[in-house]
Amino acid sequence: MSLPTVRRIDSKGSVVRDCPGTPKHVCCGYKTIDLVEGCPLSCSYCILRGYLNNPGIAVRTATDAVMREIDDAIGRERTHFLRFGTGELSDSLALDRKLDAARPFVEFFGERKKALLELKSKWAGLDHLRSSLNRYVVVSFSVAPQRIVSMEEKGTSPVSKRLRALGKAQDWGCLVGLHFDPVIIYDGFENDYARLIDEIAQVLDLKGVIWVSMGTLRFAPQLMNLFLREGRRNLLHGEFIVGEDGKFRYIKTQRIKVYKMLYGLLKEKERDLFIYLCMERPDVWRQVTGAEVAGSEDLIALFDRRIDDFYGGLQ
Amino acid sequence: MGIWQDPHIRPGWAPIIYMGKMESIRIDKVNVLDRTFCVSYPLEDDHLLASVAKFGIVTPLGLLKKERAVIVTGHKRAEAARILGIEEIPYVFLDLDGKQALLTSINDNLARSLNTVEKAICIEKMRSLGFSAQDTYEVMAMLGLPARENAHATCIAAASAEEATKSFIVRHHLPITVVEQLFWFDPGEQRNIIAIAGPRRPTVSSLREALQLMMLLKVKRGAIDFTELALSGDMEALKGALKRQTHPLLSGLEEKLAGILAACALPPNIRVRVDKAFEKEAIDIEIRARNNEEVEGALARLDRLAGQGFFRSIFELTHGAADRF
Repeated sequence: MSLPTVRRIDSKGSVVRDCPGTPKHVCCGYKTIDLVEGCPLSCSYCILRGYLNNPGIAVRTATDAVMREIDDAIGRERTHFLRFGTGELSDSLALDRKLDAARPFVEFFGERKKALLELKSKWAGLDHLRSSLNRYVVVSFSVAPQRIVSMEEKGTSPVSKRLRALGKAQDWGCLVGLHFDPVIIYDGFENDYARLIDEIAQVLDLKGVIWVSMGTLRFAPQLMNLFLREGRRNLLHGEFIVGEDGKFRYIKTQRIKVYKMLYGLLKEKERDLFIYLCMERPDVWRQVTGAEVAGSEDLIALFDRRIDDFYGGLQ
Repeated sequence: MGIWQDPHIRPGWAPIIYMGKMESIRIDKVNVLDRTFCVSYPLEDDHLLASVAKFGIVTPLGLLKKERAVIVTGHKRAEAARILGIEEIPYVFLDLDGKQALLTSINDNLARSLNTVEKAICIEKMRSLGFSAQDTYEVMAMLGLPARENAHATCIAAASAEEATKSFIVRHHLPITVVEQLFWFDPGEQRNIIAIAGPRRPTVSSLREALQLMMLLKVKRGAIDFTELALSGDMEALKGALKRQTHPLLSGLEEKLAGILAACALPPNIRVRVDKAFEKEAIDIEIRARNNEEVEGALARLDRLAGQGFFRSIFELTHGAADRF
């Protein structure tokens, strides 16, 4: 991974935001902390290719102000456990060894003990945070078969390395998460995903996995033109329609088939895994999991229950 | 100096700096075949020809003084004069270097609406004369082209494309974005696309959609069977044939839905609407009625259709139950 230009900027306006989600689909009520904008990992399907114009990396320096924003958000919330993440406009760990941006927040959440911080990444560089990690930080990795990692996530850590890093995080007492997102349909993907899930079950203690997300590939219209121009055969193998949110996604019948397969494989390994769908429709939820998740409140309630199971409630 | 500050290209400025009074020159003293600064395509212009035939050449040509003068501005007028057998043409000599001459030619043509091939020629000639990338992108923006690398590469390709391709672009008023799509294909495929789409009188939007489907098909399969596509009757049929290959599941759902709707022979005052992408689980049923009896009649009909499992068959499509496909 080559290091891009890093600009340090003073935070102007809000850095802590509600995850934008997507219209007409069930969102999970996630809060984003946009400490870093831009990512050096250059995944071919990255949504940032369509949104961020500046190829460099911007890092917010006003740590105290951001913490105040987080405190305010926690203070305002009376009903739910809040989950925050720094991986929306960047990768949480890819540049963190160099930037040391996450540590203050990792420690902050450990001190507050009132909400969770998720470090979501495809970069298996975690050792620099070891002394600061705590039970209120969820270390999570996006996972995909190595074929996709090699072809579409070229700057990232190999999936086996990511899993070993997650295993280490578990050894250090952290909760971990897994994100099958984006799930990409390509020739032979079923077998590759089955092998990946076998590997996950061998490396991780699945009882210590707080959540697993599944989300099939979806992207804004401008990325379709880019994928076509670049001849991205893996990305365009499945059959796409334009969803109600205006984004390209696999046709519903394919999504349901893929989710059911992954859901079944994961539940075979650990019956109690908490598996949620990222930005999906209520009817897809029903068909895949049997659960009635009609809107975001239903999904947030599922998260609350899961967190309650692990923490016995946060104050 | 940025290109906007150059008096030869800045909009609103007089494009030509005259060195003296307007005079006439014999056309055989002008090298009409030197197209170094020509950005017009096609050169033949029936309207201009008619105008020159009636009024003669009113606006002088801008020439560079050489052993045989080189045209900077007025290639179309010179061509009209040649066709009409006019022996003397009005001119002014311009004191310009090569880059200034090209900018003057571009500026002179900006008064009219340039087609995409002409815009491409401007950019290609700027490249040939060694303009900087910044200057070129500024002119691209001025010409209404997206100032980015892909558009630049497309311009270079379009300027030197085969005549049939250039003519296709101009005839169908294709914008640079559609030309970009066309040039994504190799020259053999371009010829096939033009041969298939040309006679079907495509609109810009229908061609844009067809090209996107062809690109998708090529990415997915590695090649396109043009023989099969050539059998399509019109652009709609062509898009349909492509869609059946790129979107077999969606096409299958559409065919099943059409079959169900045909089988139940809905009266014209009842409409069943299903989401085009089969994303929405719910369907819309619309009744048009002028009185209570018509409402009752429509509801009775819907009741019978529900009893026959008609709606169940549609919901099977909208639920996307994976095991059915």
